[in-house]
Amino acid sequence: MRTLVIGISDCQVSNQPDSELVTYALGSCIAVSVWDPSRRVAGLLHFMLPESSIDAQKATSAPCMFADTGIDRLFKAVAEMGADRRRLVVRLAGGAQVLDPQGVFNIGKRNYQAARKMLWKLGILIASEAVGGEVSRTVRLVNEDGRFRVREGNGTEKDLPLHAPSRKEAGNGVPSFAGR
Amino acid sequence: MVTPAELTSSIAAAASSVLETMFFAEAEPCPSVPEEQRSQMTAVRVGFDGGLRGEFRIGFEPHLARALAAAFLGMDDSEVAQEEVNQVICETANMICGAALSRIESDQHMRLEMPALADTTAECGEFLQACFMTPEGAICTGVRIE
Amino acid sequence: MAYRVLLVDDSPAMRSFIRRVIVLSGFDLDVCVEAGDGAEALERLRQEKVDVILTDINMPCMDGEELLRRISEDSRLRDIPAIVVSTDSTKPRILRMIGLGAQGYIAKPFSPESLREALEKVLGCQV
Repeated sequence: MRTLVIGISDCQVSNQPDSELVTYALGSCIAVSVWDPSRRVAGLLHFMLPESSIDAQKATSAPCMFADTGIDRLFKAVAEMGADRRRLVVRLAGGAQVLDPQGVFNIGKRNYQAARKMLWKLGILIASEAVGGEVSRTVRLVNEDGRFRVREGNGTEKDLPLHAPSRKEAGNGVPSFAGR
Repeated sequence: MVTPAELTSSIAAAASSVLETMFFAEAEPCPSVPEEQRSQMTAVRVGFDGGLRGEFRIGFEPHLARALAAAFLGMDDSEVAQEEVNQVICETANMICGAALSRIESDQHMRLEMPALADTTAECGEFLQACFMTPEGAICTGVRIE
Repeated sequence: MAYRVLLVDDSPAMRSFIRRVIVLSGFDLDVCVEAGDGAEALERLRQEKVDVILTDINMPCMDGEELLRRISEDSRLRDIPAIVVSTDSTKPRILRMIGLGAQGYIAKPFSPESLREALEKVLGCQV
């Protein structure tokens, strides 16, 4: 197994079937994983801030620091390896509230919102996610089968499915329902 | 009987829910917005009846209105036509009102009128006010119960 | 399979949003018919065959509740599955719409993924 380690404000992609992409210690940061099951192309981004508009210079020199420029970079990178955006399985992890118990800065939530906003703009719906809370997370994306394993601070592990219903309830806490 | 505190709380929860869920934006309650900012806002009026009867007025700062429309439609701010901005803020007001009323009167009947752009300079003295701040600008809501 | 969808909402912006969600969800959208109120929706249903109806409730001319009532009384239309997408999430309304045959109920605001899930369940597929 070929392991690619993605650091903070970094993203990497691979079309090697035996590769896995790993990023560690997601606190308020968000990991965006993308996987094309048909072409076996995998990509993982680890960004730390929501909007690149706060620092134009950094947006150019370190685009993966931000949700908007980082996600744009990630999608371009996997496209260059032959991935088709319409086939991509996109999953998110992170966005926790760590070292900020009162939620004063809310960076984790703002990062999540920024990722969702950018993905919607790119025409992408989320397959599944593990976000929020107060735990740090480590994630691993396996290119061979698209497995996206999330390990939380307390040691629990789970694989985010390739396709799952939204966790969100409808407005006012009314569960969306369908099917009789 | 709904208290003013219950009303403002429901509106705050509804505004937060709507902006987060459909626009990926955060709205923080703020005590007030200066009159010169309010006078520049585009306002939407939504009448309602059922268990409660009255009127909502929701004002959006122009830059925020455009940013909301762009986020909703998945476009860049510069790509959105003014007609689309107006349509989106009308629907935003519709959702905030409906969500707020559904919270307050979950066991009652509710009917919303079609939202319409309103005169921002109309007197709103009798309206119960609640304001919110987002990174792109402010939203001011007012509700009057008959 | 290519689907034919009827969108009923007095907000052009919301119809645009929902249409985008349907396409981005991966559904093969053959036809997307739109109507701004229940009366227009009934007229379109007389002209077009559709596989699913997504309808708002609060609309001018004819609201979504009356629309579902008319559909349920029409033997040619009553088997078309309908999903309600509305700001109204009061209990009396939800119960009435289910009683009129709504197979899904999505309260606004909603995430794109929740609409995708509802469509997959009602259409009996996963894209």
